[in-house]
Amino acid sequence: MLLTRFWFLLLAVAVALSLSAVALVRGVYERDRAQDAETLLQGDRRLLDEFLRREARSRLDDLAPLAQNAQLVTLMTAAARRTENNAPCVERGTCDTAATIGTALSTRVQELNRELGPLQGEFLLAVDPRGVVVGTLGAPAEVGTNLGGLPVVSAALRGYVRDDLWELSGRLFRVGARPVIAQGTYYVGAVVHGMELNARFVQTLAQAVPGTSLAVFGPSGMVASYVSPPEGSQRAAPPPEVLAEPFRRVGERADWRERGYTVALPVGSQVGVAVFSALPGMAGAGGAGFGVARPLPVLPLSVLLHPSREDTSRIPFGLVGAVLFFATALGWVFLWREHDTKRRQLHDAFAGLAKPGTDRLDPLTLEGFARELAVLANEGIDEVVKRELDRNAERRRSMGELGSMLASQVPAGTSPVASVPPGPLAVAPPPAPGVPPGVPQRAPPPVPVPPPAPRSTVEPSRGTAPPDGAAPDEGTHWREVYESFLETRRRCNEPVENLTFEKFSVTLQRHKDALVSRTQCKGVRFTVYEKEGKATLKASPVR
Amino acid sequence: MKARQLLVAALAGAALLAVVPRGLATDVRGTLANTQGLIGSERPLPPRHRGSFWETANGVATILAPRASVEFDVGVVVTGPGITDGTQHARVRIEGGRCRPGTVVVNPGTVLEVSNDDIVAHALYAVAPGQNTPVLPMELTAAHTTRQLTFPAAGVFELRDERQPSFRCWVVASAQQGRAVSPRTDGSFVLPDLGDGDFTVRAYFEGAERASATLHLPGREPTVTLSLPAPAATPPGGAAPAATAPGSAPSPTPPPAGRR
Repeated sequence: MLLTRFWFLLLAVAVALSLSAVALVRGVYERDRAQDAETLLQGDRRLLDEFLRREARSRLDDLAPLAQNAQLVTLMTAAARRTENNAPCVERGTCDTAATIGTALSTRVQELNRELGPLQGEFLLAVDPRGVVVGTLGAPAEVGTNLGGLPVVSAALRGYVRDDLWELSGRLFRVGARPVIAQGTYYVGAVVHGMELNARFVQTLAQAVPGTSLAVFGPSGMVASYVSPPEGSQRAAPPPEVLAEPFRRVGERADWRERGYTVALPVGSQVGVAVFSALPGMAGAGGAGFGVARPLPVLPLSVLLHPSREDTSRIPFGLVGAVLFFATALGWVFLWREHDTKRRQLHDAFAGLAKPGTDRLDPLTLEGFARELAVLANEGIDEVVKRELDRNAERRRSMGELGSMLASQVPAGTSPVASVPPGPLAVAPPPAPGVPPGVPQRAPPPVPVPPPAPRSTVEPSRGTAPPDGAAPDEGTHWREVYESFLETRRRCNEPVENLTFEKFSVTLQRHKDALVSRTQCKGVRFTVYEKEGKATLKASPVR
Repeated sequence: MKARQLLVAALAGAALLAVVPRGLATDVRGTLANTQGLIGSERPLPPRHRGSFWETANGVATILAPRASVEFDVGVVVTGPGITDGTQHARVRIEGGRCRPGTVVVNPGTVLEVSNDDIVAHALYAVAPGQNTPVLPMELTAAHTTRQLTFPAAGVFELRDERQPSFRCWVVASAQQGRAVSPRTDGSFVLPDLGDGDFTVRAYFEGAERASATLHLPGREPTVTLSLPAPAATPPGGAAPAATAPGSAPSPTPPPAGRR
């Protein structure tokens, strides 16, 4: 039992260690992957920033042919002259009227915008050197509006090529401006081009960072977002809506104020982490930015349930099989050694004798030498019991003589016999000599004696106890049944040489057990009778 | 014949002038002189602020130095008898990322109406010069809306814009609110509806009085000229070209008159 218990303990420890190892590996994996996620997010942030930067440069470069368009330059030169102090055309009265120039410039601006193809702007403005709009396409500013103080316009009028980000009526616009230069020498104004930062652009932007969710915020709130489909076995990225609340509070963070971006922050009840970054320009100064989020990594069960072929090829099946075989064999050996050996069975049978209700070994449950030893042990037990019964009978006789001696000392005129209550524990002494029957005698004190054998129509018991926990009266009953059975078989001319009491008792015990289990009775009485010339037993339940 | 007609006309004119009552309102023309050297000081931008991804030279022409806009940045105020504007709201417009006028004078306690005529919203707040702590809190003023400000005590204040860190606009809270006018690009301005008396005309730039003149009406030549002094020192990055494109030659000749 010790080996088997130790083996079970070993198996339990192995299982516990395996589960702990899985949990440990999962925790280590998720922690490492969380650190990776932050690194990835900072990379995403830099990538998006670079994407926006290159896109802005691309727009500014594509505006160059537009700003150098000869017709535009001519028209804007004419517009600039009107604004110049003491312009000769003003003195001569030959300047084009503002309405004429405005219409012509607006028409030209529209044509040039169409020529930009995919970079067509939602608005395109031509401004004179003072910053006054002289040609317009789109809604933000009419002809005559002064925009000269806006940083991007001011810079373009001084000769810079510059971009900016504007928020107009809750919409974000990517703005680019270039100076318009006449004769390669002096400035006659600038062109201001604007494209909306809309959902389509954000989707394009998000393709640079697959597996993430991306949200762009203007000063007034979220303007566009996109969630990339998850990669491989990864979880889906958090929905962009969960980025809104952290972004609202991002201005309170020191890293945001100092660097313009944050570390990875948990979002959406720990469903993911996100990094936020400020956008440049006027909108950026007003709080515009973007947030990019990735899901918190977890070790998915699908990795264990549906491993790839590559993963399964890494398992050392030979070693695992050997360990499995060795462990199983060792367990079986332990079980056999401690439970299934004949020695162990015999040991258990003897140990069972100590239990109440068991006074014999059951040879039928044993094999080989164990069965032989059990039969011998039963015979020994029977002999001991027989000797004990004989001693008891001897004692009863002595007690009876003692009773007679006591009865002889009773004074005359008394009838002790009459005063002895009848009962199995009382030994009725023989009447004293010389005392006529019916004369009361003084009864001797009752002496406890073993109970007499139950009433039987056959010979009294010879004292052999029945096997397997039968009560003493049952043993006597079985002995009587055995004797009666032998007698009946002899009468029917059946052989009795090989029919020992032990074998007979085993049969009775088996029938008794079967009947008790079937009828839930307290005991079983057997009756011998003759049927068709053969001795037959009949078992009757006792309720 | 012609000489006779001219004589009659002259006599009639003289008679008309004689019967015109004193105190008739007069529009006085004025001029700001020496405005070429007017250079605005640049406000140091917040360290985190990124105005743009790119701001590069065009590669063809020389970059121009920043210059103040006379029509936006200079405020002209006239005070004198009969001018009761100081009891009314003062007004300043935000247009194209700038205030018009760049400096506005308002009596302490008088409402200053800031009209955002710009295409973008502005988040304005006020600070004392050289300070960063707001004396009036930041508040978003959407495009084409108006915000009212009140400065209870005398002093000079700077209006800033959270969304446009380069934005600067000055408010002089003093008892000299007077009547404000904005000069034109060439520095000329008109002081309308002045009666008789002695008037003071002041020119303000970046919250400080840069020039002043007295005007007596009626006068023989009701004009006033304010000569702005040259800047005491060149602000950082102001006079020299801020940047040039690599390999680009500076402008070989000065631009023609009136050209930038």
